[in-house]
Amino acid sequence: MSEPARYGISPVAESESFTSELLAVKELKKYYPVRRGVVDLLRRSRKVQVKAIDGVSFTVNEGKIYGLVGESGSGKTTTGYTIMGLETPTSGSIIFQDKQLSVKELKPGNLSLKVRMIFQNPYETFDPRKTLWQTFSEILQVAGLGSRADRRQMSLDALSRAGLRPAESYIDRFPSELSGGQLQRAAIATALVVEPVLLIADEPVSMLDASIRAGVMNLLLNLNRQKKMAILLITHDLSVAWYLCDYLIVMYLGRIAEKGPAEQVLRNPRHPYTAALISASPMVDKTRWNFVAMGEVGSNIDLPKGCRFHPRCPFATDICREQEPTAEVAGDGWSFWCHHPLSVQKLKN
Amino acid sequence: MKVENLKVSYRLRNRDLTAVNGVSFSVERAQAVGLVGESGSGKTTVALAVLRLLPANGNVSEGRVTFDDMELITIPEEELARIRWEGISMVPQNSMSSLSPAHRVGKVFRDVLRAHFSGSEEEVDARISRAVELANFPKKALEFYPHQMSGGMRQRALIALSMLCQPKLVIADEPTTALDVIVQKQIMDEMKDLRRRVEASLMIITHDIGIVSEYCDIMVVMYAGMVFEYGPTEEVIHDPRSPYTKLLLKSHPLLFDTAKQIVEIPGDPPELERIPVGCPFVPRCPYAQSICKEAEPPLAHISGNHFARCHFV
Repeated sequence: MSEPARYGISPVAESESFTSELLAVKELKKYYPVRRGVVDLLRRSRKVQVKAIDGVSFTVNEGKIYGLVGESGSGKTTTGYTIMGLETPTSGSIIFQDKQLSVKELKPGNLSLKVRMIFQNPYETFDPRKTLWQTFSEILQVAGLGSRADRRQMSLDALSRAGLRPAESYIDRFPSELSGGQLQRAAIATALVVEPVLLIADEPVSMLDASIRAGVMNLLLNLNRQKKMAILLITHDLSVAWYLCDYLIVMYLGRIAEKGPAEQVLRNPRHPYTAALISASPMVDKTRWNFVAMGEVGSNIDLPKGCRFHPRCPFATDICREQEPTAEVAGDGWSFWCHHPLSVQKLKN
Repeated sequence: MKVENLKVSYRLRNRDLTAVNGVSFSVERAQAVGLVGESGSGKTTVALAVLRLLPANGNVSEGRVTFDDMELITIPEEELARIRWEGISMVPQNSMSSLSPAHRVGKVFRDVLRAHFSGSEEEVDARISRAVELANFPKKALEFYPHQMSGGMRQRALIALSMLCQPKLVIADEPTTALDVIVQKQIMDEMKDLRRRVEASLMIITHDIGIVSEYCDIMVVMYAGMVFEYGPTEEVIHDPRSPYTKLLLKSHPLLFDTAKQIVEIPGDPPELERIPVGCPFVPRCPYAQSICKEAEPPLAHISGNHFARCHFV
């Protein structure tokens, strides 16, 4: 199916071979130790770890929007933080623009010229005692970009590109003098000012009021279409993913359940978990999407044996309880990890 | 329950800020009503005013709330204490801070019931069993402390608590906002099922139009302390008449919507200190005319039980 025109920009015919790989994440793992009390030590109880991400691999191509989706505990945010260098991975590698980065190189400063991140709560993004200009000037200084006069102009440009116009009337304000929507735009501007090739956006609209979400979503879409900026969007909301994303990576308890072209994955998911997420979304056709997963997300400490989703999956059989599923290919750039993948019939009941 | 021309103001630095400005709606027996609005729209203030739980600086300056022929705003505190839990109960948003961390949930159930019901120990047990069964809360979890339960379980405990005294109306303030999407659906489905079985009325306060559209019979859209649209949910969703509701419905992407076009609403919701003169939506409204800046639009009757606030419905 051809992609419909979005936001007044006609789709450009391009095949995968023309877009080049920007970022490759390979077998990324992040374990957190669980602090043990004296009693645990005396009992010599087993050392416990929280497996936040447990072997995640995917690639991000230039100029595309990728959605990392899943419930809490899926590892979607940890994945974003690790790429950004805010967390040090336990193992695995990240290749950025064909350059392999060692664990040591994954520090916030190293990639931050090319990769920028925005967060869910825009109020926590800014130092409340600094004006926007002071924040911008500090970012540019650290990045070593522009002279003092240039920096002011660069900041103004970024603000107006983020939709805060006229930028002159915003740049000398304190964060408390902006509304939530304006502040999220300002946060996007602080990312834009260094001209990143990849923006990691962690639930960028979920804290915003309904009437201002659309503006921020369209801003992200525009930046992607016009500037060819790739976006890794972390979200729990499939309708946002449907609107913005070219590709989806569905995660569950630290592993990828399914990944592939967004529209295909959402229209005909192969993994039961993807189908469960769709069925839980509001205003979908309930006669087709009547798939309810049982219970709640399991624990990252006591991971279920075999397939991690099996305790919640109505199709689980013995093999699911014993063996972890391996990757299967469903189509071009589309794979899933399930012993009993869904067919369209199965969903229709 | 019937809310008529409710006005609530908060006193702040010697100024009175109007948070709810003339809100009227009713909740019929066994009906589910959804109050939807953005932050600052006054939706939670309405719920607090109904239960007389407003903070000390909040004050109902006008209006009536009648519940079963009783005037809730003026009845004495002792009578109100009886109506809370037995007539109207509330499911709060944050389940972690609503349950005592130092007590097993079973104890909370027992205490609440003992305060409102003087039956034998067996009768108390029977009532608790019925409530937990209705809310799909596992009975053995009554022995747990709140921290031993997942978010979904805690929310089910609160729903079971709200059903304990067999109320006629349950007010749920953002009942599933803190939960993951799949659990959110499980809980909402369970609440729907429960409501059918006990024939209780439900008032849901939420920012999520999706929840209202799927689980409520009547939808009340609030903006800047006023009702902007009121009517049967189906009708409001398919034929919204106030520009705010229209734009709000178009501003959210829908899964599987092939048009992939969403509409931006310029600007921000107004702050309580600076609610515009005339129609409060006027600075953001693409259809605004000169009259909108001068006169507050009336809540116009559209058809049947459907009302919308605009000069040009």
